[in-house]
Amino acid sequence: MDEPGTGIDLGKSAYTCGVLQFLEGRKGITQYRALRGPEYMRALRKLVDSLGVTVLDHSPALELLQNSDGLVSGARGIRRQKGGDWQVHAGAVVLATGGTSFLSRPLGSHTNTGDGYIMAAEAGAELSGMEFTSYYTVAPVHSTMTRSMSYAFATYYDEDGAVIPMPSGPDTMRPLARAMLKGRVFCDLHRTPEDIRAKVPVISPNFMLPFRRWGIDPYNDRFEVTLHGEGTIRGIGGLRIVGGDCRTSVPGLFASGDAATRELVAGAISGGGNINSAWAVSSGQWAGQGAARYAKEHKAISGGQPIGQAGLRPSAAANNVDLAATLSAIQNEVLPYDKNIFRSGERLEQSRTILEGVWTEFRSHAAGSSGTCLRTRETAAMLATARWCVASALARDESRGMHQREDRPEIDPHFNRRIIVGGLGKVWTGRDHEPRLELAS
Amino acid sequence: MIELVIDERCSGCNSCVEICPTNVLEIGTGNSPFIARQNDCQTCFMCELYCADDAIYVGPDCDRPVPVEKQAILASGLLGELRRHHGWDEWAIDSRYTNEHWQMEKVFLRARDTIFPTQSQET
Ligand SMILES: Cc1cc2nc3c(=O)[nH]c(=O)nc-3n(C[C@H](O)[C@H](O)[C@H](O)COP(=O)(O)OP(=O)(O)OC[C@H]3O[C@@H](n4cnc5c(N)ncnc54)[C@H](O)[C@@H]3O)c2cc1C
Ligand code: SF4
Ligand code: SF4
Repeated sequence: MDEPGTGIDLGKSAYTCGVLQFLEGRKGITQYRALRGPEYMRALRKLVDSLGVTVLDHSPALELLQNSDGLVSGARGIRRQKGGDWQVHAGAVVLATGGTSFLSRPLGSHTNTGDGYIMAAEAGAELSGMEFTSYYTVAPVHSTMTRSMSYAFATYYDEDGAVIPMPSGPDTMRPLARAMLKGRVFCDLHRTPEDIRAKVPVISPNFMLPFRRWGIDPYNDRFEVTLHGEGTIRGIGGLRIVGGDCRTSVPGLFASGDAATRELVAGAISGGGNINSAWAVSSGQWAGQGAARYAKEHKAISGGQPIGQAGLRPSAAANNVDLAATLSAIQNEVLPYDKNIFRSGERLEQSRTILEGVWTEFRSHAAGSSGTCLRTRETAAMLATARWCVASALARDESRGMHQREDRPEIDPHFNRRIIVGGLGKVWTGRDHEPRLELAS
Repeated sequence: MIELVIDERCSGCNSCVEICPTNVLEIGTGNSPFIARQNDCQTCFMCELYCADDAIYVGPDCDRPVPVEKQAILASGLLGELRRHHGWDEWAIDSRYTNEHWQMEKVFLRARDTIFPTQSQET
């Protein structure tokens, strides 16, 4: 990543700017791995500020600008604290809007509504790996605390207090989901060694917080748990990347982090537990450099037109579409364990039919007003994403990785291909026949 | 969900308004910001982390508001706990709260080796 003149080596710069303090382990050895979220975000922000970058906080993008040659040439959005709009004409755009878990409540994911996916699809981009969106993380019920480290020591119980046997392999999610389809599931962490209990607050400072506030001692008391769907957050689908600089198939449009597919680094399994964050930082640098190079070669273009459709510019008369009901309808197809973890062609077909109906209504009539414009657009993005997930899960007519179809329990070598998906009015799927993309290291 | 902004502790710095990812808080007419859109709260605790005066209490329940007694919370010792455990702000120099996040990997290995022979490495 030290290519001279093309960008900044983020790790090194952050370090030399003195904004990112790496931790010293025992014997004074500096630990460069395992950066904690809030600390890392704070450091990155300090770095960006120190470089003099203009940041518009609380200014979500609603749509891309595209010119008549198909080049993406900027974006437009709102300023929800300052009021009014913003519009930027640019030589290139990087989408770094994250993934979406359909607002199922993993910690800190409520701004992850898949906005980048719909914006890019409107410009003509396609997605890849959207069938690998069936990962779930355990958390206490009514809580967002999807920090799973301590659950490595968990014991789970059914409603009658009987221990739920867990296989010795890594997959606890599926047996837990099966148990939850039968009834409530409880948990305690009594097998956690004392020395680890003492360290939990300085490893994961938020983990104990809900327990302390509820007056639960998780090491002795049993508490009820649930599984939160992760969609494309710890799942791995996203915008298809067609070059080592993280470009999409649309000229001028780049993608990084969870906005992009992580099949390139995770295959068919979850990207949680290191791969995702490593990819977010690496792909961000590649996309940033790629976009800068592209913008240099293609002088900033004005005259791009806003291209947002669903939720912004209804195709028929605008009327009040119930956003909460639309969200429930989406969640009801992509989150229930018996539809999304234990998949079948028949149930997926039913989901497809239902989501098509919701889409037709939403696309025709939904238009936000000042207070609801962001949520309306976000709902459109989640709805489009749900359709792509279901279509991809149907197209992958086999089981592989996290995508498990009860009606097609085996891996089928015909599907040693990525499933590509796209389209808004009509969703299409295809297979990637391109030579395997090797990203530069 | 966020339940309290405690007036008598608040310095009016408005960092919480700025940091909240879902725009729950709003600058008020008095000294402290107010909870303008509680239903948008995603229970991420970032406002607590960024409140140097430990004037905010976020309840653990993410599904519905659960009102709390201000006096009880003030007496509970819960305010500021997250910031302290993070080694944030003035706690950065306190060695009891040094960030040991890098130990996570070892915890997984301990679990794998001692309890489940092949436990996953998700965090
Ligand atoms: C609880 C939890 C723990 C995790 N732990 C790990 C781990 O230990 N290791 C690991 O590798 N991965 C982990 N992951 C996954 C990892 O957090 C993500 O892969 C990573 O944060 C992705 O980074 P990103 O920058 O692409 O997206 P995000 O971090 O999601 O950032 C996207 C940003 O875009 C903003 N945004 C969204 N829409 C718009 C819009 N329309 N306009 C403007 N801005 C917008 C959002 O507000 C957000 O700030 C975890 C995830 C969760 C939920
Ligand atoms: S961050 Fe704390 S002190 Fe600052 S305005 Fe918010 S509540 Fe008040
Ligand atoms: S907990 Fe998170 S979402 Fe809720 S008010 Fe605080 S910062 Fe905002």
